[in-house]
Amino acid sequence: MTPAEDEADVDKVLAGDTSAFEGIVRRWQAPLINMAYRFCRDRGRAEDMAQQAFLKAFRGLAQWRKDAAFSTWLFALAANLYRSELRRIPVFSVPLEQIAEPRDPGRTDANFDAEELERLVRNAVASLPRKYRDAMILFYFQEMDVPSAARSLRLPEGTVKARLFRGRELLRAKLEVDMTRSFKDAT
Amino acid sequence: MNLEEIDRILGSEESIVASSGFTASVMHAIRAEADTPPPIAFPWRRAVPVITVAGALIVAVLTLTIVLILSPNPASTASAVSPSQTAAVTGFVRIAEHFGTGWLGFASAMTVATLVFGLRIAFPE
Repeated sequence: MTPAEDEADVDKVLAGDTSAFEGIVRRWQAPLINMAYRFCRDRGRAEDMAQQAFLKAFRGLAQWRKDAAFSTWLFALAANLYRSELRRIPVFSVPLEQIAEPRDPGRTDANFDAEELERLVRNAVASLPRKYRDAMILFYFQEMDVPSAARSLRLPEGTVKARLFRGRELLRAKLEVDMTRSFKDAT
Repeated sequence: MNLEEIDRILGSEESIVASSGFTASVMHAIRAEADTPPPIAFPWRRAVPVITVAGALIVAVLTLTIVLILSPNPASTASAVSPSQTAAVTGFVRIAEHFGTGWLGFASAMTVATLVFGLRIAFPE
């Protein structure tokens, strides 16, 4: 993916060559689908959301001012759309209290199956208040790059850092409570 | 669980691959979008003069109505008004009384408020 390819395809589309948009779709489908998946945790819905993002990008292509990278503009547009979609139809997430207890009754967090632990963490992220959840999803999606996450959210970096700090603290507290409860229930 | 562990788990999520028909599906939607004709623009050049005249007429009729209603001596006030104006205002007042102006105004205000509220929910951006 090069910025020059994006700019060339955008210019062609704006000149009337709709088929040039396919190059943009092929280059950016994976990141957009993966970002959507991190929000909704459903593969089918992630592809639907990514398709909506591409459609919205096509309609608003003339608004890309070329002062920022095409990826920055596209990710910000997609993130905004995904957040709106999740407000419209929230993800069904199981409350931590309803997650099944570990199979082995004497377990501590050190003994949690790795897969189970990952599922626990991801469910905990999904159950966070929206502003912390969105900041965390985009932070990890952007490979822990605060400026990129801030640009996608269209928020100041300081705000994103504060939300990340608070989100991770909430997450850690939730996970500690749940793991302690599971251990106590088992013993 | 410490923050490093959380970072490791959330930062190491595997990527999913787009389904085989995704690009084709997107391009089908894009072509449909491109083939859709643009919406017909509102004919402002024709509408603005009509709206202006209608607005001025409504304001004039309402003003005359209010003056007549509030006047301590409607007869003398009415006599200062030309017969055509009187007839228009009388007709308006009769219609307003017949249909219940107060309720009409309330219904109109509720309609506008509902519309604005509905648009804000549908299009929060």
